[in-house]
Amino acid sequence: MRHRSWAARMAAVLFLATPGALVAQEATLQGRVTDAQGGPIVGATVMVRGTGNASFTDDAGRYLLSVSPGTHEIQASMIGHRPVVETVTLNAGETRTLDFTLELSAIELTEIVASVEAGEVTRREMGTDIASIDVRNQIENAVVTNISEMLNGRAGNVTITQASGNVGAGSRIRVRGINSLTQSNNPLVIIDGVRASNDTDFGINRGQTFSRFNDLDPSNIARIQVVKGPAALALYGSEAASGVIIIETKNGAAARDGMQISMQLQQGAMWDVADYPDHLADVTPFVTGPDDPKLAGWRVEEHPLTHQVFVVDNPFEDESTSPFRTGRLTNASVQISGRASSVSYFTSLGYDDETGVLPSNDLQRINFRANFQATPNEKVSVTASSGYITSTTNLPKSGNNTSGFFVNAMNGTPYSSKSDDGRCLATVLLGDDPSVCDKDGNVRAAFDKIAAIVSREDLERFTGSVRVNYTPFTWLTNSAMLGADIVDQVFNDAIPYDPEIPFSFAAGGEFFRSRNLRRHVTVDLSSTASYDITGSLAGRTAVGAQYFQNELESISCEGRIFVNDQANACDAGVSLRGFSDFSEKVEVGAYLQQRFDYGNYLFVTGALRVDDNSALGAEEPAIWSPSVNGSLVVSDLPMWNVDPGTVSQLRVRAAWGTATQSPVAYAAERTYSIVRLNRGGQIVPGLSPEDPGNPELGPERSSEIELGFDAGVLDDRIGVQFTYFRRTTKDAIVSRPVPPSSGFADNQLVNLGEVRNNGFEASINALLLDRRNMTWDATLTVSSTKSTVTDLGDLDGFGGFREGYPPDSYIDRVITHAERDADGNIIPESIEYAPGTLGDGSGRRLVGQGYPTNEESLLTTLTLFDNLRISSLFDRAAGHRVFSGTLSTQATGSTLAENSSFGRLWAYRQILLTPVEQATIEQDVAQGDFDLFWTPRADFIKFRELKVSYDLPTDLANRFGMSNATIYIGGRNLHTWTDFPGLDPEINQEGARDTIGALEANALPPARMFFSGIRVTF
Amino acid sequence: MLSHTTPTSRHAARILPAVLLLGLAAATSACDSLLDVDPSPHTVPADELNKPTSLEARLVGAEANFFLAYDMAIVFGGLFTDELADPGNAIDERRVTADNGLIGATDEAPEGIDGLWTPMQRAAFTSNQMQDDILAGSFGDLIPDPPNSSELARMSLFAGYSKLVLGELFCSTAFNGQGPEYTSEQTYQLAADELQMAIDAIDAATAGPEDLDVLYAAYVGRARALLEAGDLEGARAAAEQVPPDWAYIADVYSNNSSLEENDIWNMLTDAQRYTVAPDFRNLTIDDTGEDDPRVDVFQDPDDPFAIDGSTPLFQARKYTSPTSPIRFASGHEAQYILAEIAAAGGDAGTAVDIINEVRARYGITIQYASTDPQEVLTKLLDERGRTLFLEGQRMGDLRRFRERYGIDEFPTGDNYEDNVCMPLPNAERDNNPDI
Repeated sequence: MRHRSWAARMAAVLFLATPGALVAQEATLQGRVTDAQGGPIVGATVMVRGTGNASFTDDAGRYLLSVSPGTHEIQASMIGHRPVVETVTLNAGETRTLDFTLELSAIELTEIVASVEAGEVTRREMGTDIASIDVRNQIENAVVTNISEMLNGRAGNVTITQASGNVGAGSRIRVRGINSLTQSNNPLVIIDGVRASNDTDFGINRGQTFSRFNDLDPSNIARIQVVKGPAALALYGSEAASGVIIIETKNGAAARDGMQISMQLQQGAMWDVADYPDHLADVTPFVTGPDDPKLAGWRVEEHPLTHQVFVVDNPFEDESTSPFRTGRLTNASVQISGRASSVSYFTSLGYDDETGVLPSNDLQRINFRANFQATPNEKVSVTASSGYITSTTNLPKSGNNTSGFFVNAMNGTPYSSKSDDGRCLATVLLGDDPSVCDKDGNVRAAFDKIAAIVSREDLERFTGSVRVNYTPFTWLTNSAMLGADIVDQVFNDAIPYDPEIPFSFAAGGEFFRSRNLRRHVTVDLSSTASYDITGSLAGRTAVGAQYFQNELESISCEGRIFVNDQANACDAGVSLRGFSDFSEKVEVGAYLQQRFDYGNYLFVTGALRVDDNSALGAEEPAIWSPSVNGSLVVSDLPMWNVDPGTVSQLRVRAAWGTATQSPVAYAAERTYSIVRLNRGGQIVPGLSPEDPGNPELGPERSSEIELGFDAGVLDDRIGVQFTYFRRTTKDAIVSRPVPPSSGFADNQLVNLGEVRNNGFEASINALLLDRRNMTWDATLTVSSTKSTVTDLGDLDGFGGFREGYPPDSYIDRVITHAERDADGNIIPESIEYAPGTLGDGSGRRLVGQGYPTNEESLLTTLTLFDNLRISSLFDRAAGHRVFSGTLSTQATGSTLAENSSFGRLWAYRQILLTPVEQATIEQDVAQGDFDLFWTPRADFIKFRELKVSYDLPTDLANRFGMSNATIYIGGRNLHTWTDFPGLDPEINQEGARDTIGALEANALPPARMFFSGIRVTF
Repeated sequence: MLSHTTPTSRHAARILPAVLLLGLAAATSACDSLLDVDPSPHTVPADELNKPTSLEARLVGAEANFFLAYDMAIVFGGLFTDELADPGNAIDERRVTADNGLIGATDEAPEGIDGLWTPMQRAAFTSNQMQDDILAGSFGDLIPDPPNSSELARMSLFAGYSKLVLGELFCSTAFNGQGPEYTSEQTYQLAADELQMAIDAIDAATAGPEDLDVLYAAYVGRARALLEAGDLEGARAAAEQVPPDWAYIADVYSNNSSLEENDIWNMLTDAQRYTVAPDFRNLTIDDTGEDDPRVDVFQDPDDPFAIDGSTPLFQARKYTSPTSPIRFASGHEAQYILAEIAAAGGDAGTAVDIINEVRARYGITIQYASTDPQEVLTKLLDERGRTLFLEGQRMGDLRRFRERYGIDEFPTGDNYEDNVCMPLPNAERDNNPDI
């Protein structure tokens, strides 16, 4: 292999992609876009159809557009409104005013959707379902602080799981279920055409992770689109099988000459509202009763039947020890946009200052964006997008860390409970065993020692792109884009020097510092030609090539044992270690797409993409990904004569396509690692087998069929969308163990498996009320996904995967009946089991799966007098189970377990547990797998958002020099309905890491937040 | 609507698809050079192995793989027998099952405990692979006479010892990713053959000190392997070649990383996961009250308990730092082999003399005396246990003395079960295509 710098590659491609400048004299089109009541529609698109020439309306609904002389179709459109098209003929140098009035509509088929083609593609032309979230509109109604929250509940089968309530922590995103058993299930993220970092694996060891997805400021985003499945993914490369999230920032196509300034200030507070379980230490043998003087200073409970005495311990709930505080959020931004001559611009400066409810959790972030769009003439337009982010995020020590808040508060043996005056329960009661209170694993560290631990990310990130559109003829548009996403991340993880630090492994202090530099480079070239074939048959051909490069360079050091708390550089410690790494992955692809339009109601599109990827095995050929889709707008057929008052619009669609997921970098190579040996005091390096590699390793190949329809009924007052999908991922990469005697310890990645996902997405968008002073709309989204491992080659049952079962399945013997004897013990002979289904004689069956099978959301907005809006979001997830570490870790299996909270259940079993539950617990403990009782159903409904916003009357706003102003209040995470007995069914100890399963434990549940804010425009 | 009716566009409709298909084909053919990426700096691709520049690294790698596995083999053998005890988890003692990942197959457990089967198999594989490449002449002028090279001798030494250790610890074995499944006896013969290759590669008359160390270690190992296999004459012939006061001290450990540390120190002193078992605490010579210097163990009054906070922690002064060397072959062992063969043949006197000679080298003046060969054998097992304490001999000793002489000192009760060897791990049985 040889090295060629990414900068050189970028320069070469940029040189080739740059077209010559052309000059011509233009006409000007201007006007307003208003709703039926005459109010301005903000953010509406006004465009010259068939070209890339478009503009957005400003806060007064005004637009301005430079247009070449001639006759054009001008379309005004806005999500939730029926588009309007006018034909105008303009002369060179002429200025024409053209106003539009848009009616509300619950269905939108002319919305511009994501496509690789140069120029716009409307939803009606695509036979695939692409979820579109109009952020500009949602900002009005949503209560969000980041993009994950923006996506939550707003697109079917786009599952956002908030892994914790920490500010700055990431959320797990899944699109249409689990597609890969070993490779990434994270969707690709594309920001203004640039494939961007969506790393979810970096964070606290065994704890929460930082979020790259949430780096962006929601107020800078114009639109998010989610391309869900292979049927639509053939044009997004060899790493797109898990879906693509396409983010478009506001592009500077401002409405009018001059400058517009918008400011927003949002402040909020948040509180931890979780109920944390008590720990109980059974102290009966050591005391005379609950009033024994030795127990002064502890909370005490007495068992009503057995009269056992328990010391109750709950450092999270006790006010004297609770570490929780009121979190604070401040989100402020200033946006300046405008237009001068043929150049429009959008700039934004945002500042976020957030403190979480746990100590050592805070976030400060500055977000700067500068986007420009220039149209030097009718044939050339240049769009530049650039965003710079600098942030500092502290995540509190959590997760499965002995130095974390949760392990110490919830997993410690209650015998280490401290009394009001600091005495240790074990010392008082047992006397001869003080080690319970001062040894590893049993210690209950004071929270002030944990709060002093630093886990901080310092981030600088630049995401930028330049796109040049060149239209030499009206029928041909060329586009060249060069972009990069560069993430410079410094992570400091330090346990400070403290002579009284309770963590023996960190005696003398510990300091870890790493720098990770990620570079994603995207080059995208495309040409699109539109032409008539016959009188009613038209064609559009697009061809393109793409280049993606992904580099990760990391360097880190670790120092331990310092002389004081000041000199804590790595090399100031007694023990110093250093690490460095580098990885690079390159993908090159090209595609050809052909679309036919018959009569403007039947659209058929076929595409063929070819990719090659450096991570594939040397013997693996290039990847060919075909796709085809069709869209028939039935309501536009000449013979359609259904009353619009009944069915106003109807479209049916079908799609089939393939997509691939390439393995991680270097996965195909057989490699040897370095091993060191001391020879006479000198350390010498040697070679040792590491990864067996696989020269035949190929990508995972997904194919999907998608069928659906879109309908508008009752004069478009109700819009209905339905999509059924069935996806099969063949050649799924599984990790096959090799015999250790082969010398290689790592498993070998092989293309052996098959995973099937099928389900549906449906939404009903209804204008429930549309009165002069009151509108009320609601969107109900329902989705379902079923994931099944259908083939594992010769590895059935390996790695927890089993053919015929979900990838994240829980399998166990299910007890259906049990009886207790007079002493409360289970009578073994009384136990009855549900029939086993595995066919292996074990009596085991599928208990459940970790991924929700059903999700629903209800989003509704009531608008009164055009300026008072009340919005709310409820969402539900169901059909899944979550392994509750919060419960299971209290059954430690040690001799003290029966004195823990598990012991509490045990002692109270005749009161709290049914015989079946008791027998199930005993089975779980005996098996040591905790697969049943500790993995309860995790269905939930969350009252996620409520927002009340008020637009000041224009006259009043104008009096203060503002064109408009909005004030609002709102809340998030307002209530959860669930029978899940753990802390929260959404949290995940592992953060947003790209793993199959989840573990509810040692993580902060989502905090309840309340906001107030103001947004003004000058 | 896509329609744009112009003559030019109609013309384009005819030629454009053909042009674009040609372009697509051209683009795919140009991809290869763009896909060049920098290799990972963390690893070395397999195609670098046979380059001359890799020779020294591969020799070091094979040796490192052996010694970095050997220290943990001593620990696991000690836990399985009566040298060490685990205060917290009985699974690490003799309740070893085929699916036990830690002893069976783990390379390195999350808790930082190195495994046994996989690391030692890696040692066997890398040294065997080097033997093959050396004999195939892969390194050209760097090794001009492969069959008689120091390099072949060293690799054969580690190939032989890794098989010997696995043979003593496990009930059956397999090597190089393929079957068949070998019994311990077959494994000992494989080890003896490898060690003979090491012996054959070195000319004792011209060998330097390092090669002589390899040669004597190979003789000791071969004697041990043949003794285990029941070839007493072969064992005697090999053991007699070893000077009584010679020892191979593996001073190879460092505090560069936890992997490179002496794991016996790590497990007993640093991590405090295991403790010297009661059978090896406070030992005196022949119950005279005189401390035995060969088994110097202690309890630190400032840190008296193991990781569980309650089990008394006894550490070995033999290994007091992460860089403490390990003696893995010695003239003492060769002498004990000769003593055992003599006693087993009814010659108690020779065996007693050897026992006392070894004692004398440790400054022990108390003389042992007996004329009963069976009693001497029992004493010999005890003396071996002391002299070779925590040197990786105990498992083979207990198995051999139990099976051959009926002297059973495997601990029983509590956490111990009746196993006398570790089962072939499922990780091997399930994935080896020929088993």
